[in-house]
Amino acid sequence: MKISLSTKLFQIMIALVAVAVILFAGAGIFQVYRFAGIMGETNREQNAVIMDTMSESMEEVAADSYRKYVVAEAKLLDGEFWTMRHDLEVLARQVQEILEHPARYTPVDVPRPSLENAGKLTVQLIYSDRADQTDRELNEQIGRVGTLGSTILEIVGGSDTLLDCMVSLPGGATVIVDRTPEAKIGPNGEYLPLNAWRRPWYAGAATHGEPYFSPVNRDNYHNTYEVMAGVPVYVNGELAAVCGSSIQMNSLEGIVSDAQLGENSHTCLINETGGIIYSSWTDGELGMPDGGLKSLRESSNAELVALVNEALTGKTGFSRLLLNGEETYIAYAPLPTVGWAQLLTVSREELNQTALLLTRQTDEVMQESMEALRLNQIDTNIRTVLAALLLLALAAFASKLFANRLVRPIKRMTQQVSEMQGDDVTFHVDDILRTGDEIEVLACSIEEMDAKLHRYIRENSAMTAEKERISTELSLATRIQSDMMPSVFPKFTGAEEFSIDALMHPAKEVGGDFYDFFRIDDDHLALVTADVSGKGVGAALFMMISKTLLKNEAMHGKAPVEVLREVNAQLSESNKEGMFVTVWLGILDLSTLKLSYADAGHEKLLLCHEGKWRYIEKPRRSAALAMLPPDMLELMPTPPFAEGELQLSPGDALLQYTDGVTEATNAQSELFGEERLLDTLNRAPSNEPTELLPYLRGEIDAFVQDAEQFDDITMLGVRLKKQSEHTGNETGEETQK
Amino acid sequence: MNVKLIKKGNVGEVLLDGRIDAKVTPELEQYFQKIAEQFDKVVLDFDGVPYISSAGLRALRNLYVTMSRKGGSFSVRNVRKDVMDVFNVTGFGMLLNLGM
Repeated sequence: MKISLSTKLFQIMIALVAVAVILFAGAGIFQVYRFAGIMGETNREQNAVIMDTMSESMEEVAADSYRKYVVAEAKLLDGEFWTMRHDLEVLARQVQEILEHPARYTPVDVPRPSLENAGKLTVQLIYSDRADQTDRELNEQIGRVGTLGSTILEIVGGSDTLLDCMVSLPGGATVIVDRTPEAKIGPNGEYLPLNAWRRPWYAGAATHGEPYFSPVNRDNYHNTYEVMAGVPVYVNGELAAVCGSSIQMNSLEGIVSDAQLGENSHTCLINETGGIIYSSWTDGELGMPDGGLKSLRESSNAELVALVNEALTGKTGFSRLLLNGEETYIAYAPLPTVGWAQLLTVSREELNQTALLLTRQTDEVMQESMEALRLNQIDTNIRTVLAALLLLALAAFASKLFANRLVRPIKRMTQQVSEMQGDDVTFHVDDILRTGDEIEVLACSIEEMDAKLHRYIRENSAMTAEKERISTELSLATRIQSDMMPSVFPKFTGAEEFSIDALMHPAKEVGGDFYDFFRIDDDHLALVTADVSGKGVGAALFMMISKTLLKNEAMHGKAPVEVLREVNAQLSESNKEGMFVTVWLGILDLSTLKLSYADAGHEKLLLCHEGKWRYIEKPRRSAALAMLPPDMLELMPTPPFAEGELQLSPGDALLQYTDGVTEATNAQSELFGEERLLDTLNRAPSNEPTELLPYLRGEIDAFVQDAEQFDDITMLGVRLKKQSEHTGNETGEETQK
Repeated sequence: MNVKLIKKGNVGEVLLDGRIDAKVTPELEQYFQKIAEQFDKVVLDFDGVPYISSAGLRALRNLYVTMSRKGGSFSVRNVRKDVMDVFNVTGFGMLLNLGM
């Protein structure tokens, strides 16, 4: 299958562009992925840095703020206790004043609890079960304390946290203000006693002789947990009364639990012994006990014990420890009024929450940008691929166009060349072929070649015509040449006293050999064989000149050697070609049968006498006619031509020939040679020229076989008839052509 | 037909090899002209020449004439018998003083 040039070009260009585009696209995509990788890596590193930095700084910030926070919270809580104690202390001083100076105060009636006042904040009088309700002094005391009823009402009513407030007399009576008078009345309407001295707040205050806060206790009337405080009143060194009040834990819890920060943050209130008063922990090491105090000092967690001890010395602080097996920060602050402490726990996780949040946010941002990048990356890749495809398409288009453009002139050339059928259609370099590159050069070459071809064709036609003409002329020349040589032998021989035959076979159309025979007069017969050097037309012309001159001179009746000398002089005069001719000229006197001959460099004569052929050796050396130019004639030996005479007898035969006979060569480069010639002649069935010459010619052909004939072959044979052969009827004139 | 030229100063020896027939003569004639211009003395060695045609003789004749005209000399050597016969027959041998 042939692939067109344009297809090849197209393939090469598209391959190049494809490789380039794929490389670029690949590099682009690789860059994008590498960038994405760097981005991801950067993000992870950044997150790690943020996490580290955040957790460090957050710990510091948290430590500071948590501590401040717990201090504030503790102060707030402590404020409640302080207010309670303060209120009680103020009340206690007033009770002391009343008890020290009873005269100044007129007793008032203090009402007993009544169901009518259920749920109302009222002043009530409650006796203990050991009190003598009829004791006047006791009742007067009660009446005087009762003057403080409005004050006590204000204390309770003005507080959000206080459940009640009371003044208990050692005599077994208590003036109390609260919202539950109904709780002090039994099912049968009887008044329930209140044995205040048994209560921790009373006992504690009486025992310690100073304001006392009881641990969390179950309240008598409200069925809630509460913290009670008691402040003793001494008159003359004797316990005269105890002022008490209670704060409901619910209220405290409200305050304390407000301090809680977040889900993983807990608050815990411990008393002076480390007991948990309140905890937002429901279980675990700081879990709210189900009844009874649990002292943290007894905890198995040494770190926790240490922290509790530290907290109960009244210090504020922030520590990290393992709580419930979890890393937990604990901030603590004292409640100086009650000698308690407030703990605020926050899990490390919680603390890190912010950092986590931040990193999560940066992470999100990063993720978003990564996602954006990824999308962008996909987008970029798609665009890269699209761009690559577009480029390829463009390149394909351009390549096709370019290839077509490049190939168009070649196609054009092919078309033009294929159209060049006739002689008149010539190749023409038109605009399409004027590409300015090698193609134009090629086109120009083709044009030139075409022009040459046309010229050649014309010349060739002319030459063929010329050749044809020359050939015709040559064949004409051959005919003329052969016609020039006498050939009408039968007529010439028929009535003669001799018979004669000759042949000349030129190697080319025209030869350089010739023979001739003619009568000079009735008694003299001239015989000529000659060989012009070279062959062809030049030789033929030279031969004709020579032949004409020889005959001309011979007809003057000169001796053979004179004829040669004369002809030599004439031929030498204008012989620019440097031709020469060997000549054997014999003149036979028919009456005496004497042969006079002259030799100018020609072959030896053959004589057949009494049936035996032999060579007649040359009388002396001789040179061919026109061998030297006239000015160099003196170089020639003198005389230059040989002459001789031979007396013949009837029945004798002569053979003259040219070197074409002896130098006839076979395929083995063997020459026919003089000896072979002699042998052949002696084997010949007849010496009658008309038979001898064809026989000889046949023998030569048999010897030469297929080898090319190099030289003209010329033979001239004469046989003198015997007397018996004479007809005696001479027809007279010779016929000559 | 092969020729080999041996230069010996102003003497040019030409070793001829092959038949000198009408076919090779034109070329040989040109070669001889060149040789004749180049050297004062030309020696042709005919050791390798089995045959010479009359056309070949003409080339020799022209070389001889050229050399003689310029006052130089021309000789042949190692001529085989067949060729020598031709030389002698045509009279060329006389020119070259080869003797019969």
